[in-house]
Amino acid sequence: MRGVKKTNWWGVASFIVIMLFFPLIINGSYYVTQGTFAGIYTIAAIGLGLLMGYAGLISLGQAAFYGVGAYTTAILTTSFGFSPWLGLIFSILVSALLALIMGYTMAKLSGYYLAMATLALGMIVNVIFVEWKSVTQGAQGLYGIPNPELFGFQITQGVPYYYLVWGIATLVIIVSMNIVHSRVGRALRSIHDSETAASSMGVETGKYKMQIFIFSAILAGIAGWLFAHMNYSISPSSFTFDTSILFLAMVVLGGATSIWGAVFGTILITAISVTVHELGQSFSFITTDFEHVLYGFILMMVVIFLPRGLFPSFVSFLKNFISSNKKSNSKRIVS
Amino acid sequence: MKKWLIILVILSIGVFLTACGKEEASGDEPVYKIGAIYSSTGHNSPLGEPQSNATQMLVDEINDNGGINGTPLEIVLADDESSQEKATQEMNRLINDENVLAVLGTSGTGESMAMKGIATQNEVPMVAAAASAQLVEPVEDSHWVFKTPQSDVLAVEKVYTYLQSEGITKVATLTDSNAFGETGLEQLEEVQGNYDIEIVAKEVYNTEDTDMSSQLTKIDSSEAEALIVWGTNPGPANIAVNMQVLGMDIPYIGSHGIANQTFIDLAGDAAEGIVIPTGRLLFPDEIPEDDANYEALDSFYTNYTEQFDGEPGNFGSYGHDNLMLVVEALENGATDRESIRDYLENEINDWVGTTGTFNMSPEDHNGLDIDSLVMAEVKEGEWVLLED
Repeated sequence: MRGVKKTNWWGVASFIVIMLFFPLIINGSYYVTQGTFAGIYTIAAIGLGLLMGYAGLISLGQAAFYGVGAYTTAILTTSFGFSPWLGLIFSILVSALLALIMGYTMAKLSGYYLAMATLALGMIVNVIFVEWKSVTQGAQGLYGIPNPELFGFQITQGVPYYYLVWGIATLVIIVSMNIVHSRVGRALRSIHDSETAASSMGVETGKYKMQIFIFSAILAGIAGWLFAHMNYSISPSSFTFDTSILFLAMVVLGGATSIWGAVFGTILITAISVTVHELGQSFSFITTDFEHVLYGFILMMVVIFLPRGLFPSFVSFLKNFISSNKKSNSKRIVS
Repeated sequence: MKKWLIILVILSIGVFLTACGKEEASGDEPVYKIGAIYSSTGHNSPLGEPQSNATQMLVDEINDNGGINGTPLEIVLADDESSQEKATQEMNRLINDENVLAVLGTSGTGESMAMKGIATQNEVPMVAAAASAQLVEPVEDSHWVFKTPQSDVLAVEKVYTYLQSEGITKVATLTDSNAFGETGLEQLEEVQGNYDIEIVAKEVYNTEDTDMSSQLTKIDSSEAEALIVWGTNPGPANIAVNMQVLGMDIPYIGSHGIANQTFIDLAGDAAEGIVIPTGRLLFPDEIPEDDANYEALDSFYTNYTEQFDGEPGNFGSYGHDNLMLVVEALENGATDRESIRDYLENEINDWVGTTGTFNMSPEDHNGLDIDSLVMAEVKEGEWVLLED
């Protein structure tokens, strides 16, 4: 069975190497910034991937936790002079707390109803960002958010922040893989396949669902923290329904049944945006609206032809390809 | 397997070569390179498009006339799609990859604020085209940032001065819940005392709302003598129509957010008699020839309408002034990032642009006063200048 497999460390190692060398090979601030955003989105997408692929829960309000993480730290650092690292702890705590409260009220919901409830959550949180002016500064947003410091070194936008983001992303990937390959992961997959069967086998479905919901909220909160401290200012427009859909698209595109799916999906969506940008500079008729058309088209194709997502399909294609090559090679030797 | 390997090698060589080719292309001839980010697409596109058009047009004009003191001007135009994330990416690209001397833009406040952080960190002068005062305040945090649009407080003061001259003391406000309406309301509340004006009813609507009758009914039952509406299309147009239907006849004073023909088209005859504060580019024909800004306005307006379909409007005028301020600095020998900033801060005195006459100083990185605005009224389906 798939789930019993141990963590593939070769995958992690090659991923780390690619990630480390990317800013050294690609010399360009634009690509590094795109890469940094991709890292932030990856963290949130992994959380959503765990929720969707392993527990079978759909959240359309992931931007709420992402936004709460960003706003918590932004408010604490700008209005109360907290250090960003202390802000991180609070970002995690507040998003987890929100997930806990929401988890209790949504515990009985599943399928479409849960999706609707999280959708509402996303919208409510966005309205709070806009309307709670005394704290959030309303639609104009908060500004003056400091960069985090590490060993007296200020982590500014660019290569330093890129490494911070991907360092945290790597940690998140490793932790998530351990969860997936643990007892919890197996329990979650059993819930995904059949909740009734799982609970009749003695799996406490409610507890596991709640745990993974909180974990995904924490990841979104961390992503929000990274986003806030990367930028000088944040405003509610970064945490709308569109952002939730973006996370969802990343997971669906890459494939929810694997941690790498979310990573793959995020990188792919970023790559599309970069490609459209590059093409737009040479051909004036390619505007940025093209990007959305491409997202939509690719997403539609994936849902129709590769419903498991691109990453799992890609892996099985690669496996088939290698094994067929081996076969043909051995045939040649024989003949 | 071998076949695949060969293809892979060829591909990577190809990529390598094109990458090299790009670098060699960047030249030995000296150029002044500046960057501009405007929201040509997304929800701010009505602002960003004329800004972007104006910038490209002016740069072409300058280069046709031999550049700046003989050196050609190169502009790197980018679009932030009205998104903070994209603005951040483009700002990093312009500063670090394109090595521009200064950055112009962008159109929206949120996006400009994100860019402000990067400009400050990288010590690059930036001239924003967004209205919010917090872009250049507090001054200590805004060392590298300037802006050309009038701050909201000026528009508010213009409205209150007008109300005072009309003998109105009690007003109602109906404002949009977005950033524009919010800052408007803040300023309206803050300076009301200075003009002996009292806000007796305060209502808010959401940007997407299509019917504001309930808010208007509440206002109607208050003792307000005039209604101030602060928002951008289409909300204020809906309010005008609602007022007509309800038969409310107190004066309607709008904001510079509706200084365009679109507003009149949306509101129809309900727009008649509505008064707003605005920049002069709304009606260049109406500006008298002895006006200080007449010459700059006239030539810019004529060239713009010759080349493009639409009107430049106030937003186009911000695009014009942003670019021309930096060009002014370059012309006078300020040709690196530091000296452009210093020039903008210290040497821009009585500088005539299309938005107004600028007087920058270390305390004021906007440099406009209340005279940069005029009052306009809708008459027979058109904005006309309201004489004092």
